[in-house]
Amino acid sequence: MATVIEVDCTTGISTEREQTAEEAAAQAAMQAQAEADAKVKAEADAAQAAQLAATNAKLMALGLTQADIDALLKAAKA
Amino acid sequence: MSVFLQPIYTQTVGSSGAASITFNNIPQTFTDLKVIISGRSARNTGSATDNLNVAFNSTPTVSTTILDSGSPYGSPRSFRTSYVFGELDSANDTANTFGSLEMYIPNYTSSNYKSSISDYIAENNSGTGDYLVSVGMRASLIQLSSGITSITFTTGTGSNFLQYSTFSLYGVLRQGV
Repeated sequence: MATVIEVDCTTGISTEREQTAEEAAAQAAMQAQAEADAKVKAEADAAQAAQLAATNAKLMALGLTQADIDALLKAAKA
Repeated sequence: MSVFLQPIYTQTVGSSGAASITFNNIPQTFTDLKVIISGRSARNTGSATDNLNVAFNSTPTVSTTILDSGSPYGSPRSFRTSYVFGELDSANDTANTFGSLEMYIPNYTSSNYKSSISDYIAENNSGTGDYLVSVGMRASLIQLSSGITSITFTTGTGSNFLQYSTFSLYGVLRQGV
């Protein structure tokens, strides 16, 4: 079983003990949520990157150079 | 304006590592809280870094991340609920390097939801990692309708915090208190 550290900020006493099954379950739930969040973030980042790439391609098809597009993006963010 | 920073406690992880670090019975006499972490996770597979999960008052209080770094040309956005307040080095990173993370919680005794800001950096000098440096800043809303009396830190993968990881909690007083 893993070790957990608990600090009592009022007394200044730090205690090390074994993790309980309940605490391990709660931690596992948090990890599962964090993994789900990370997946959502990765999917959002990928979708955004794909959209930007598609938009970039459309602009280049109109005759703009990459330098032109970068300048437009820089101006838009300013 | 906050003008006084008082150390409450600094906990350094011993040789056996630790699955979690908890600060209990946090005094309610300060104005704000500040946490400084130098941490390294035992995670040795997958991504180069490990997430830092934070729970308040012994329960995994949902915190809504309302701002996070996006990809190049991306815009900050609200996209999730999360317990993740940042990233730290893992055992996949350069040996003996520790991630740095700071977290600031204003008005932590309030009975309203509380805002929080955290920033972090994790270093990986190896060119074979999925990235060399992970850096970020996050603003979060701690959805807790009571004062914060307890903070628990765990890693995102359930791995132990490694020896010499250090967690420091500070209380901040505003001017005139």
